[in-house]
Amino acid sequence: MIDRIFDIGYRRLETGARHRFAPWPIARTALLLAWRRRATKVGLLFCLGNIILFGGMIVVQVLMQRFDDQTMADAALAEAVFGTAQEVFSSFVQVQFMTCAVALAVIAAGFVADDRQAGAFELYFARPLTRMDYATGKVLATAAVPLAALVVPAFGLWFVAVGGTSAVHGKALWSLGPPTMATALCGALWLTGAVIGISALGEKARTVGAVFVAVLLGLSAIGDALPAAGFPQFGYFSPVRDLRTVADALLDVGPRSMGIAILHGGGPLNGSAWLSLLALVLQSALGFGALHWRLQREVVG
Amino acid sequence: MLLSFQGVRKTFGFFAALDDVTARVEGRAIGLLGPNGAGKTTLMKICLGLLAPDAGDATVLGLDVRTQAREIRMRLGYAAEGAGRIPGLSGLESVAYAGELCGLRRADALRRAHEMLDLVGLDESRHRGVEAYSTGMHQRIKVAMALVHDPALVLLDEPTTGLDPESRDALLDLIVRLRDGDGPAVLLSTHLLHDVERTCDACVIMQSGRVRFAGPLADLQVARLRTFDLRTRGPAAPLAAWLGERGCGITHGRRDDALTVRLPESAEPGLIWAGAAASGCALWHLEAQSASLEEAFLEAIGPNP
Repeated sequence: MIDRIFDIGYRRLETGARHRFAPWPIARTALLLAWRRRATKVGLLFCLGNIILFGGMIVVQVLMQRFDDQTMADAALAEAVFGTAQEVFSSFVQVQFMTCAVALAVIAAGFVADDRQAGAFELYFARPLTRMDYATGKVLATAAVPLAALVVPAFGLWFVAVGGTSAVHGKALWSLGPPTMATALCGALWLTGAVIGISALGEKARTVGAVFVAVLLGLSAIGDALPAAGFPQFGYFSPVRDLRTVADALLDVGPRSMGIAILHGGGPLNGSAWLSLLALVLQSALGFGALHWRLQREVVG
Repeated sequence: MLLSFQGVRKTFGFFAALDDVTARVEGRAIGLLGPNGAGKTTLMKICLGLLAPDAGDATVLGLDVRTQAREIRMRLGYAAEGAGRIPGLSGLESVAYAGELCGLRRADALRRAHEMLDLVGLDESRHRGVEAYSTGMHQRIKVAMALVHDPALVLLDEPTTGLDPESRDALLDLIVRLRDGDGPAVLLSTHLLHDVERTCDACVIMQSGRVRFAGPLADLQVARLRTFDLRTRGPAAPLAAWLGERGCGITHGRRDDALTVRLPESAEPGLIWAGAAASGCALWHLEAQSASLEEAFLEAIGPNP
């Protein structure tokens, strides 16, 4: 094949306003590239599995309640086996948080690291983009994963519970929506901040993914082991423990039922839900700070 | 004014990549010439606002690089020397993505990407992933990405590196067409003199972070036209002595009737005729030395300090 240049020629574009929301193509392209990898689909399948599992539990609860209403059977026994809606919501957020972390390690680990490795910063910043545009695009792409796998399904579970239950029980479930969403958002915030921060510091997606999971497990181990040894303040280092504390406090979860305990056994909590919330926010802020530092270091203006 | 630099200085640690760069450049295609490490890429990055000068002022298309970097980048296209690609995207997607980053709507960016890929000669291979591209295809993709948003000035950093002769020829043709047509102005950074000679109407010569020449190519070559080979009837020694007293550089040939005379800046070629008359030497051959860009370039950069 002989390549011929100038078959069409150079055409000037009409001048006009070209101001679009620059982060959007960045986020969309990052997600598109991630979607093309098989590992992404596998990660999301695990997340979907959790959604189906907990969705099934909610459906069983709703049906049990309707059954109880009609037969006046012992509701306490049903609750002991299948748990309460609070338990399901709280446990779903915690279990999905961990699953989502693994999924993010394969999906989003390379969002910034790959650009760095490929020398693509120049490609971005030779165009009319600011550091904020780039960072917003990458954060949007990263946040899309926990939003889609954690926050939206949490809302879905609540919606199913509220919509499917009888009028008598439905009233109590309405008030569970905001705390469930708030807990899921806390988890999503931590996941987004942590993975984007580590991605900004690293250069290879696989290493970043492994480090991200190691950081999560390491902090969780510290946060569980040291409080048991008499240093309760170290419990705030564990994002899992922090999220558990926030979830249980917001949703006012009592003792675990048999069914939920099989899926998620719970665990010790931190002393203050507010401090746990603060710890989650600070840890995610560290991640966003790392992204900011990287971009300041690499790019002028 | 396309580009203007006034006392621009940029250092990396103790190394001065640019040292008091002062130049005003106008033209449709400008060659940025210089040996490796001369500061060409640093100067380009300053034009783009990717690097901030430590001192001095620089304007691109009349816009200040410190305060109007975003506006400049809106009107500039840049094909970097390094990798600068997004792994996983096809050639078409890469070019369309570059367009979107510059504010084009997605549909417009895709249409424009097709046009630019036709322009640089990437046909069906545009749908393949960029990782599978050869070096030459990468160069073309980078040029297409630089042109996709229709910039007023496109900066090409060593665009012919790694191209086979045919592709190189085609790319240089493209630059000529951009220069002569309605396309953007081109700043071509290279150390290949032939590329500049073929495509550019002006050039900036850099060495060790300093500008040694900035202006039209013709001006650079005129400087070379101040050297003449001459032959006299009989010995040329009296003429050599007369011209030597007036500041001319004299090189004696193998024969005693042959001389090479280099006129000082202030002198006109008529000085040789006057000298011949005064010294009684009859000239029978006088020829200005040919001015290749290579000679002019070597003369402009002088000895490496």
